[in-house]
Amino acid sequence: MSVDEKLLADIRANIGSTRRADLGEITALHIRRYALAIGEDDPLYTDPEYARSQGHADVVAPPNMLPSVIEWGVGHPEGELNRDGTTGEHLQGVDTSGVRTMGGGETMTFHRPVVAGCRVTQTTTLVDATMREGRSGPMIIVSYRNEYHDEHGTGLMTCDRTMLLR
Amino acid sequence: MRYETINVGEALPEQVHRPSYVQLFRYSAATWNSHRIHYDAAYAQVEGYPDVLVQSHLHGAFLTRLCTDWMGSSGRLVSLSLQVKRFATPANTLTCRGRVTGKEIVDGEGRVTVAIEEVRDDGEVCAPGEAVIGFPV
Repeated sequence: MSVDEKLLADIRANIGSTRRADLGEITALHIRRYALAIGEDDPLYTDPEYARSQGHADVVAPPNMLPSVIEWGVGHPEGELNRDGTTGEHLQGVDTSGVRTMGGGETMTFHRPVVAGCRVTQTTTLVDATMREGRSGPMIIVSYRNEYHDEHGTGLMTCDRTMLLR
Repeated sequence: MRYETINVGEALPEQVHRPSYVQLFRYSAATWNSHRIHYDAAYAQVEGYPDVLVQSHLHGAFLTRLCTDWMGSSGRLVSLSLQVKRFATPANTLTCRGRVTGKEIVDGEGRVTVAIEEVRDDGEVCAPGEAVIGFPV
């Protein structure tokens, strides 16, 4: 299966729709694991004493950690995943089974450091979807905005992201 | 690093990454990313790729680190954008480079714009982008 006008119309029907998700508490363990996985050795991400010396209450998440986490909850049983292993949830409920998805790029704007112990909510807005002819056939380009806030409503970061569907 | 001593045209120190299978697996695990293209080579080949792919956010993490290591604790990452143009696999070496393209004072903060890119070992640019870093003035 490849992308078609019907899928484009289904996605476009959700333009402007917004979803809010409680991502839960950002833990120091999650931050440390993320830092390890990207090969970081900055003590800001791993050492609470160093982080406090820099004016933070605890270790700080590497800047691009929040938008990188695909699933903040338990996730879905394997039988409910698309063939490529994804859920397509970022497309706000549109069925993308059989379609190949890939991250196309993003613009991250950082407002406040994300410190271990804070609770984060993510607000996702589907901004646009267009179709064009790619090198290997038609491709749908979906853009959406994720805004992240802490439990006090303080803005942490904004991420404008593009997904490519083929 | 001080705003006054940064010059337009200045290059950031290059950083080289050799993403491994273990790194890709742990990155998927830490981000709970079940996309098979990052850990299932047979599946990646079905999609036409030679091997499993480096996650787009891991490209982003490498470019982010290029900037945060250069700016040090006096700097503040204001924004960072990237576009993933080419794929990379564990067979690739990725070099991150940056060059200062502009300086201006915004709301009492020294803002430095940096053109950034992550280049594959065959010379193809995997991910170009731009970062803005703020410094006290």
